Formats: sequence, C-alpha cells, structure tokens
Amino acid sequence: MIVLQTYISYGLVILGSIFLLIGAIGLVRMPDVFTRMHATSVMETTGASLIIFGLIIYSGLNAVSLKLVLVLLAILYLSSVATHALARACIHDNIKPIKVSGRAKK
Amino acid sequence: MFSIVIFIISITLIISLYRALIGPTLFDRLLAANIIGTTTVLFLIVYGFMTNRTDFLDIAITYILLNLIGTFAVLKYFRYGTLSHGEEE
Amino acid sequence: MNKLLLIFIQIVALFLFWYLLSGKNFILLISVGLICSVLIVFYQNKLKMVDDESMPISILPKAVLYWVWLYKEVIQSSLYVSKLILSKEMDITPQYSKIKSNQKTTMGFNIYANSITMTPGTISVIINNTSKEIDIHALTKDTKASLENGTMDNRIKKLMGDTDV
Repeated sequence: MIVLQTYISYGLVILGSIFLLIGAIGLVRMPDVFTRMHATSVMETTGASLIIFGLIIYSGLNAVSLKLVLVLLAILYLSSVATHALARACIHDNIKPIKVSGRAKK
Repeated sequence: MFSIVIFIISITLIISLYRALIGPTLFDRLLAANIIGTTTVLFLIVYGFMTNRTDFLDIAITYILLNLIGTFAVLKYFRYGTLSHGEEE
Repeated sequence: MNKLLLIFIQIVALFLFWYLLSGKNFILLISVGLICSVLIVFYQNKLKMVDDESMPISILPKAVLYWVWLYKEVIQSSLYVSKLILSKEMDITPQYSKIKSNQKTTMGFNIYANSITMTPGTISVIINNTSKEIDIHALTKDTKASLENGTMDNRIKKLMGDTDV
C-alpha cells in the first residue's frame, strides 16, 4: 500500500514538471505577449497543482500537507491576479494583440 | 527520484530566463520574471522534500507573496514613474 | 449573517493559521497568537471590514463543488493548449472580443473574471463592473466558443444563489 502511494506521488510530480517544461517551450515559441500569457497559465495552474498534489499524497495527512494546500491556493489565486494585471497594463500601454492565423512568424 | 524533477525544473528555469533576456517589450520580460518566481517556489518545495527539510515550505509561502508584490511594483513604477502615486499628500 | 458569529469565525481562522505556521505547543506562543488574532480582528472591525464580502462562508460548501468542476475544466483546456504548443505548426487564431455576463452580484462577477483568467486559453483583460462586460483575449476560436456558450456563467449564478453581496 505504501509502495503504491509512493509510486502515484512520483508519477504526479513528474507529470507536473513535464507540464512546466511544455509551458516554458510555449513561452519561447508563441508570437506575442498575450499568447505567451496562455502558455504561462498552463504552467502555473496545471503544472503547480499536479506537483503539489503529488507531494500531498507523498507526505500523507499532517501539518506539512496542510501547508502545501495553503501554497497551492496562494499560487492559483495570486497568479491569475498577476496575469490579469499584466494584460491590463499591456492594453493601457497601447500594445495591440496580433491577429494571425496559421503558423505565426517570429 | 526527486532529482529528476529538480533537473526538469532547472531546464524550465533556463528556458524562461532565455525569454526574459531576449523579450522584445518590457511586459515579456516581466511575464518571464513572474513565471520564474512561481517556478522557484515549486523548486524550493521539491528541494525541501528531497533533503527532508520541510521548513522550506515557510520560505515558499513568503516567496509567493513577494513575487506578486514585486510584479505589481514594477508595473506601477513603469506606468506612473513613481511608487507613491495616489497617496494623499 | 450575525456579526458576532462572523467575528468569532475570523478569530478562529486566524488563530488556526498561526498555529499551523508555528507548529509548537508552548503556552507562550499560543497566548501570543491568540492576542494577535484578537487585535487584528478588533482593528478589522474598526475599519468595517468584517462582513459577508470578506468572509463568504455561506457559499463555501457550494464553492468546493464549483472548484472541482473548475479544476476539471482547467485540466482539459491545458491539455488542449499543450497539444497546440507541441504541434509543429501552431495553429493559433488569437481573438480579442467583448463578452457579456449576466451576473447580478459583484462577487459573482469577480469569481467569473478570475475563473476566466485561471483557465488556460482565455484571459480577462478589462473588466467593467457597472455594465458587467469583460474584454477577453482567447488563444483560438474553440476556447472562445467554450466561454460563449455560458456554462461557466450559469454555474457561478447557481453558486451565488440568493446572496446579495
């Protein structure tokens, strides 16, 4: 049973770090600042939550896992606030979102 | 096992740093800096579990709050040119 | 809701947060934490910040169900965005448009805008609380369509129920 718990937690943590890597690749490949925000959104919702869920399963139910839940709630709430503030600042700074379809140029 | 995760997160940090270096506008750099902060929090947590020192979680909570405040401070500074805009004096 | 009950719940929540972070059982630390929580809630009450808006405990049981649904949506759309990122030619069609929400309360509108930003593929850029309109930026036509069919809007309306914050 304890072996199964360990393997599930390892799987979740590695899956989460792979999502982090995918988001970083998107951060480099996407063509403009608004589309890059979608890529970072993948990192800080799915990547962070999968890693923290894995660590919660790894540590069981104690004070450490409660602190992990706190960290997860803080990341989910504050990162979306920061993304909204960035997008609003871009619009106020007269940066127009691009309107291309198909393969975007650099 | 956790060392593999540490390795992948380090690669993520390096790729985000590349975007922060080449980013054409200020907002690209700020977005990359924000995501580097979030990734660093996850790095700290996983590193704490790897070395069995879960005190790192307290540092992680502080770092999340500092990350948001830092992003807002830079945005406000570049919008108004000062950090004390809006105070009644 | 009753004011005294709200103050009591706030003190208990702050003290539990203190106890979670300290994790020690000394009588000194516990008493200092208790005094700090009481002082914080006292000044919060003087600033008139203890009300149903700062602590929406009446919608908390339904909010947990909403979070589970929202998490499922987040996973689905982040798989979609990941496939798009890893595909050889990224077939993105960025959209910038205005959508209308039929939320009545400020808190419901706030939850709606925050959920839009949290879901990968859509960002709420400019929000207008008087006309209840949101300028959104979507990555593709599909993510915009998933927002326009109004599933999330109706769920939040059901979540808020008859509260008037």
